[in-house]
Amino acid sequence: MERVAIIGIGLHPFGRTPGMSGLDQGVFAARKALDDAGLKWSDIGIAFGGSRSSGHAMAATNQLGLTGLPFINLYTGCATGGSSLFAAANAIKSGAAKYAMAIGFDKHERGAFSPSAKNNDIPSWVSETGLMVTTQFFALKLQRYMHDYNISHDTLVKVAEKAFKNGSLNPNAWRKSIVSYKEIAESKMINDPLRKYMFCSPAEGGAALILTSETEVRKMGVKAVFLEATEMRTKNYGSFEVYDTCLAANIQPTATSNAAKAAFESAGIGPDDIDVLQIQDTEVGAEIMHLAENGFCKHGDQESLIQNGETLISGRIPVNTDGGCIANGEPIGASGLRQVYEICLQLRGQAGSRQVLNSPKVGYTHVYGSPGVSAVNILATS
Amino acid sequence: MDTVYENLVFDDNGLVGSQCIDCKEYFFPKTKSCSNCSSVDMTNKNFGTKGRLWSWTTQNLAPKAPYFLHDIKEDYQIYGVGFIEMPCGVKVKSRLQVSTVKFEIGQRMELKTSILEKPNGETLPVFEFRIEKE
Ligand SMILES: [Zn+2]
Repeated sequence: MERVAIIGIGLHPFGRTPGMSGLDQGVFAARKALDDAGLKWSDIGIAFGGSRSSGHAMAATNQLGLTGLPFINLYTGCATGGSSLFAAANAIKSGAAKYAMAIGFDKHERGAFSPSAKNNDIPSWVSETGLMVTTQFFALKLQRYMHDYNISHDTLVKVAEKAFKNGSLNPNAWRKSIVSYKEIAESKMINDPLRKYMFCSPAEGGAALILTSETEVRKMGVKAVFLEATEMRTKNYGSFEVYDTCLAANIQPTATSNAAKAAFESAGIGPDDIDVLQIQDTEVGAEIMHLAENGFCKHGDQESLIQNGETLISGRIPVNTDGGCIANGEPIGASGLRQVYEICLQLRGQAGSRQVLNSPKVGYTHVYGSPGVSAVNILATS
Repeated sequence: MDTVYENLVFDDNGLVGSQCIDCKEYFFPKTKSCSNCSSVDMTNKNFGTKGRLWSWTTQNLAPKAPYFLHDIKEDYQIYGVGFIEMPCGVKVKSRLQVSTVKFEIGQRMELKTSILEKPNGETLPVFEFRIEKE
């Protein structure tokens, strides 16, 4: 199977941008990605895009140009960006188009999302009785995990501290100020053990990537970042996922573990070969648990890994170097593509003051969305 | 048995869920089919009133609509949320009654049906678990 290459990346800064719609920010990102690739919109043969709160992604063609291309709107919760890229990569592999775009944008209202029971095939009484709050899931999964694997509250604070530190080095981040250990540790309790500054918040932003085949890259004579693997999985029976009203007697590995395993198998490399990674950090517990679910350490080893600073930009396995969801906020349609944007910058050596040293060559991204979807990518410079 | 909603059945004798006749897995609330083996042969199963706390959290902010009490801002009462491991092994998500005793994984829990009430008189029956009285 021919390899897929990323030859253009574009981003509209995340955060709050008054006067620009979510779609405007997506168009901004798309134009940046086209410039980066040296292509015109009319060169794009197929596109996949998503947004939760800013309308149909395809409506971006009103501004980009009505070229008549196939444009597929998709939505898989917080994993939407990962799914757009997964679909676009497979379109290139199939030969459906020479150039494909994965695009995502959003502009959410302030405050937490209010998921719909009906849209998730959950009985209405679950949300009416206060049992369908996404942040409860994070806390319930983390509380049990901390108990089973001896993860300390101190480690939770350190993950948030790192996110804000990395965000302060990223001009495109929403939260660009350092938040102190004390402020995080004493911030308002939201869902025990998770406090206010340990969560990411809904935000705004746009991101776009342009893909082509390895053959085309050689013809064009351009530099590219190659997708060594792109895999996506939905929940399997027995895994503990968001919105579950009951859990099986025997808990099974998550959609994340299954997607990660498939990606490493497909790329023929292992977690030890990854130089820099982005993993879904909807809150600090997610980053901690996803580290092990993706195979980067054994369950429970996060405690020493994080305490020893191994996940810092200067550490052995730098995690969420751009500040992740916690410092960037989460415009759902764009978030998974932002992760890949950051890895491309790191692999190209263009990450500025947050550049991982010693020229990272292999990167990794992971998103997780409701109601139990995970998409992961392995990216490499050659 | 009180059927509160089509698929939500509970009373003082216990929570009622489903068991798959083919693979024997348990589900809550009642389901029409088995998400393990795809069977549509399901039977009712009473899980009883007692279990152990498998995980827990607290809901410190009022959930948004459609939470029944979302519009009652003053005097918000923090409630707990947890998974209760029932004797058959299934873990059921439930509201938890908050008391002066801190929640701990492994605690013995008991079912307590209750009513959420609005100032205007509207009510919603709920099931909750509380730490078992010694
Ligand atoms: Zn079955």
